[in-house]
Amino acid sequence: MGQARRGDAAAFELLLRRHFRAGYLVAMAQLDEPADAEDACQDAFVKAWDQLGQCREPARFGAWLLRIVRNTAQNRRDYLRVRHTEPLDEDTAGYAKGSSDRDLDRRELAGTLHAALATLRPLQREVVLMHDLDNWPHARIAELLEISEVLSRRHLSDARKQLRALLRERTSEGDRS
Amino acid sequence: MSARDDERIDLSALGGPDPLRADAVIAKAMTRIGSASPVREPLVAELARWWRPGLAAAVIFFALGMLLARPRPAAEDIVSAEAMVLEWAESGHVPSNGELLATFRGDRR
Repeated sequence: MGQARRGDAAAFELLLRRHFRAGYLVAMAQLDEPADAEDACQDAFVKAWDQLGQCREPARFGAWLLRIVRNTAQNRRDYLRVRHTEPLDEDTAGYAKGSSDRDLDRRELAGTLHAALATLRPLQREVVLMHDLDNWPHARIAELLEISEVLSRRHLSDARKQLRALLRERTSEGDRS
Repeated sequence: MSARDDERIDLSALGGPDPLRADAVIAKAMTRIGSASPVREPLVAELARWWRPGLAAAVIFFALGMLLARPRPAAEDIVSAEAMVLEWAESGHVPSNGELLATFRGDRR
């Protein structure tokens, strides 16, 4: 961290590699598409480099970086919401036509999961993604999200309960139609 | 909390972090960083670093300003009105009104 603060880009790159997964999951908690989460991460990493002098606690660099990723992803989500009403362009329409049934099923399932995740509180989304999608232990989640382990477990339990209820509801709606 | 709440929910359809994509994202960010300016310190830190030389420069400028602003006596003030009158008396010159005015005004300055 000290080397990165002195302008060593290679040292900063190592820090990014160490925290990329967490950053990506925090961005995913705000954005539906993996490509959008990646773009948000990229923008956030550049911002973090520019603001590195403002990181007052080098030992908590991970949590500091995630705050930047979270803000950047929220801004991107707001921007995408505004653009959402615009019609599909040629490329996107072509991609949808050329996709296989399996891809479409997966996209549909991803859409259902995103819709269910959207009903959770932001912190619950981050916890459930880190734990259930990427197998993070509660101690690490708590450290990076700046919460207690107890709260991390609580968020996970609440999130799972809510997600199961919603997914069950949607599955039964699908069966009826 | 029921036993089911302890079971993991399969979120794999969302797609987790892909190591290859991670490399690409980090590489793009590093390219952007490489073409940008080096790390800047926050404003407070920069000010803290520059306050001593700044203070020294301010003291020097203040002292120079005081020296330059000090009024210097004009050449005609050096010659007193008394000396002028003495000169006129010796030479038998009768001063005009204008000369008298200039002499005594200059004496009061």
